[in-house]
Amino acid sequence: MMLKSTHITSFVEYLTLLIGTIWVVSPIVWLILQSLTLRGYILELSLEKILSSLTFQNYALLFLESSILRYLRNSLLINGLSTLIVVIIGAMAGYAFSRYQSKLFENLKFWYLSTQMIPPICAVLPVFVMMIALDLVDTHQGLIWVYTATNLPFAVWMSAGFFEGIPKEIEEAFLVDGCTPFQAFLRMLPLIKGGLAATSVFTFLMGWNEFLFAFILTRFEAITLPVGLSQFKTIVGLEWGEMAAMGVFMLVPVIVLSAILQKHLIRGLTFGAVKE
Amino acid sequence: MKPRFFFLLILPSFVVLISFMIFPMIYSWYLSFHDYNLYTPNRPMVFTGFDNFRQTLSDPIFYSSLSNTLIMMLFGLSIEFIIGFSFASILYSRLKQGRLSSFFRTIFMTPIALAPVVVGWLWRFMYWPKLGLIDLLTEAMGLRSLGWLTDPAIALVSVTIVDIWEWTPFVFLILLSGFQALPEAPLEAAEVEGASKIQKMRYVVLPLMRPVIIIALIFRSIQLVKFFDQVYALTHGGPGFSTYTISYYLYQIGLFRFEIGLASAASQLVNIIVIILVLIMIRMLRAGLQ
Repeated sequence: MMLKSTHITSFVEYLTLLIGTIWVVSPIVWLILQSLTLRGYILELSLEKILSSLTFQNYALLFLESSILRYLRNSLLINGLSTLIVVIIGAMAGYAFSRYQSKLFENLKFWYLSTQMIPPICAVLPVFVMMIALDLVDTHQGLIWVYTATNLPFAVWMSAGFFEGIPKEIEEAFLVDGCTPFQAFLRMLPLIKGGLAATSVFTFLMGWNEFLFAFILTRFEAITLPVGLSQFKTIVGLEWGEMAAMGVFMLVPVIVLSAILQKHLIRGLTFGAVKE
Repeated sequence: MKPRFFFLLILPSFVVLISFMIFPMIYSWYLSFHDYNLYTPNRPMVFTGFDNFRQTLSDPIFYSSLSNTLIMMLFGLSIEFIIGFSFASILYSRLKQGRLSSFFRTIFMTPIALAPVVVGWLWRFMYWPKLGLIDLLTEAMGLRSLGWLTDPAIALVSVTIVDIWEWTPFVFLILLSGFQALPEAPLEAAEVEGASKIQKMRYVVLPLMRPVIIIALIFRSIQLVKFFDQVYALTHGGPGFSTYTISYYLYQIGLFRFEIGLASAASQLVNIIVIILVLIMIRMLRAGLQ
C-alpha cells in the first residue's frame, strides 16, 4: 500500500515536470519552426508537412535584404562600449564599497541600488528631452551613456559582492610590497576575474535585449536589434518569417553565454542578493 | 588607506549616475509642474502648479492602467510562485545537484534569455487567429477559438499568460537555489521528530525560504511595474484600453501624445507607488530575518 502511494506521487511529480518542460519549450520550438517556414506561415499542425517545407529563405532574406547587419553593428558597438565603461568604473566603486566601512558609504550603496526601482519609462521622458537638448538623439553616444547609467548599479553591487569574498590580508600584503593603494586595487582585479567576466556578460545581455530606451532614443542611424526587429511591421503587414529568424538570431548568443554563466546565473539575476 | 582614495574610486560612477539618472529625475519633477508639449517645443513652458497631478488623478484611464498592473501582480505572481515553488521542490527532492538539474536550468533559462520585445512578438504570432499555435491546437481539439488579443474581456488574461510563461522560470530558478542552500540540520531534526511532508514544508522549509521568496517577490513586482515591451508588441494596450499597463499608459501620454509635463507628473505618482510597495516588502524581509 505504502509503495503504491509513493509510486503515484513520483508519477505525478514526473508528469508535472514533463508538462512544465513542454509548456516552457513549445513557444521556443514554434519560433524556430516559424523561422524555417516560408513567410512564417504554418497552416497546419502536421509534423510531416512542417518538416517537408523547411527552408532557410527567411534567414537569407534577413541577411541579404534587411538592415540587420547595421542593427547588429550598432548593438555590438553600443553594448560593447557601455559594458566596458560599466565594468571598469563599477569595479572601482564596488571595491570602495566593499573595503571602506562608513555610514555614508553604506547609504550611498543603497542609493545606487534604489535607482533600479525607477521604471525605465519614467526615466526615458526627461532623458529624451535632455538628449534633444544635447543633440544626442539617434547617436551611439546617447545610448552608450544611458545604458552605462542604467546598468552601473548592477555592476557595482556584483563586484562589491565578489570583492567581499577576498580576504583583506591579500591587499595588505600588496601594500607591504610597496604598491600604492591604486596599484593594490589593480592587482586585486585578477582575483575576481570570473566574477568580472560574469558581470560583463550580464551587462552586455541586458543592453542586447533592451527595447524601450533604444526605441525612443533612436530614429535610423543608431537602431539596435530589438528595435530593428519591431520595424518589420512597417513594410507589408508583418514579416513573420524574418522576424522569427531575427528572434532566433538574437536568442542564440544569449543562450550560449548563459549556459557558460551557470555558476553565477542566480547571483546575476538577483543583483547578488541570492548567492550560490 | 585614506578615505580620499575611496572617494576617488567612487567618483566616476557617481558622476555618471548623477548626470543620467538623478538629474533627469529632478528635471522630471520640474517638468511635472509645467505645461510642456513636444509637438510645440518652441512655446515657452508655463508653470501650472499642481494642474498635471490633478489631471492625472482625475483620469479614469490612469486608474484602470494601475489596476491592470495590480491585477497582473495579484494573479500572475500568485500563479508564478505556486508553479515555481512546486517545480523547485520537486526538482530539489528528485534530482539534487546532478546533470539533469543543470539541463533543466538551461531549458528554463530560455524564456528569460529571450528579449522581452521578442517574447511579445512571438506570443502575438502564437495567439494569431487561424495561423497561431494556440488556434491550431484549439482547432485540432475541436474547440472554438477565442479572440485572445481582440476580446477586451480576455485580452488582459492573455497578456498575463505571456508574463507567466516568461517569468515563472525566473521564480523557479531563484527558489531552486533557495532550496539548494537549505541547511540539513533542521530538516533532519524534523524528520527525527516524525514530521509529515506537509508539516516539514510549513514549519521548516517555508520560514527558512522566506528571505529568498521575498527577494524574488520584490524583483518580480518591480519588473511588472516596468512591464512595457511585451504590451507594445502584443496589443498596443488594446482593444480599447483593456491591456494598458501603467508603463504603457505613461508611454502613451508622454511619447505618443508628447504631453511631457502631464506624463512627468503621472510618472512621479508611479514612482511614489513603487517606493511604498518596495518599502512594505523590505519591512517583510526584515521581519523574516529576525
